[in-house]
Amino acid sequence: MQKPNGYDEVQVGGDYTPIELGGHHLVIKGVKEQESKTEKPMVVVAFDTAKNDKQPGYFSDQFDKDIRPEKKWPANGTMYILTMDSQDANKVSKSFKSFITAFEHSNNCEAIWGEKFCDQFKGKKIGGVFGIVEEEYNGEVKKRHKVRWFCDDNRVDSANVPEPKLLNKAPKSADAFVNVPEGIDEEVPF
Amino acid sequence: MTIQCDTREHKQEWERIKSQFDSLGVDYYRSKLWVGDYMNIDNPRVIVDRKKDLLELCGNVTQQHERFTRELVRAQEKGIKLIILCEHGEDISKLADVYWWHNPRFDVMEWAVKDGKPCKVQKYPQATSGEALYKSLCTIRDKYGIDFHFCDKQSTGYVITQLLGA
Repeated sequence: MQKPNGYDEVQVGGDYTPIELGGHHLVIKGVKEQESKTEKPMVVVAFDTAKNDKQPGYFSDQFDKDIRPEKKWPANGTMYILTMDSQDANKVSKSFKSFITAFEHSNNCEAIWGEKFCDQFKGKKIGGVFGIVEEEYNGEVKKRHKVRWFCDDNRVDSANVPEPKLLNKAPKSADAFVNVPEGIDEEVPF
Repeated sequence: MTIQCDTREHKQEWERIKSQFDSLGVDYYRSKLWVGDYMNIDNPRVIVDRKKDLLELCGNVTQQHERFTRELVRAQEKGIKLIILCEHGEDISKLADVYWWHNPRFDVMEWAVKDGKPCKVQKYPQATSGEALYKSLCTIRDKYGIDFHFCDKQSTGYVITQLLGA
């Protein structure tokens, strides 16, 4: 067999290095305005770790190694930020203002509002603080390393690892019940 | 190292790269190449094809798709490793960056009449997006064994010598 094209680039199963917790120097790849599933305005911020970071190009490397044809930018390298407060639609959300402030401080600039709003972020630096976030996936609780908030790029090196963000409810698998798929033809063996 | 440079390179671009070769002390001569633009005469199995920016590469992949593909097939059939070097600069330093490229053709506007009123509309709303170009380049990489490298215009000469095995 001839060596298939791209053989050297494919990651070996299990050969995965998670992004380190704490502060990272990031570069913004793109910002998009869109609506959430509940039709609330939000921005989607895609980022990569910067060249001067301890794990440079982390998300673009992950992206490159993803061999699925319809691949998307890694979920951990993306942050969805509601622009308005979820409780009060007339108030700007704290996370959105934190993002804009971190962008302004990191690049010593002022955000430009209007039609070209999203274009100004591309290639600009920003800091990101990563922590553990518990998420439920297919009925299992997984711990992921995710960006918890953006910060001034100059404060990355002094950023502490945030407290883990845990799910409040107990995992389904821990409640002693077994999920039986609906419409199963076989008899349940107990 | 002696580099054979294709004669069809644009004059202005060639002058720039030639001066970079001169400052690096690289020997070169100009003669037509069968595929690509730059070849180390000691290793004719590796050839660099230079593209001035992503817009040129995008044009090759879309409008001149057949001609471009013919060149890739020709290289593959002869066992030549073709490296496409795109001197786009700015924030494009690896293939994944192409995904985030904003095609400037999307910004070209023209006047149109909508509901009886003149207004500006995109002239090329169907232009190739960065995401679409990225997917096409990945397909080309995997199908024809092409490597994509990126640099800025100040370092093209140096990068060519590195890619050709200096």
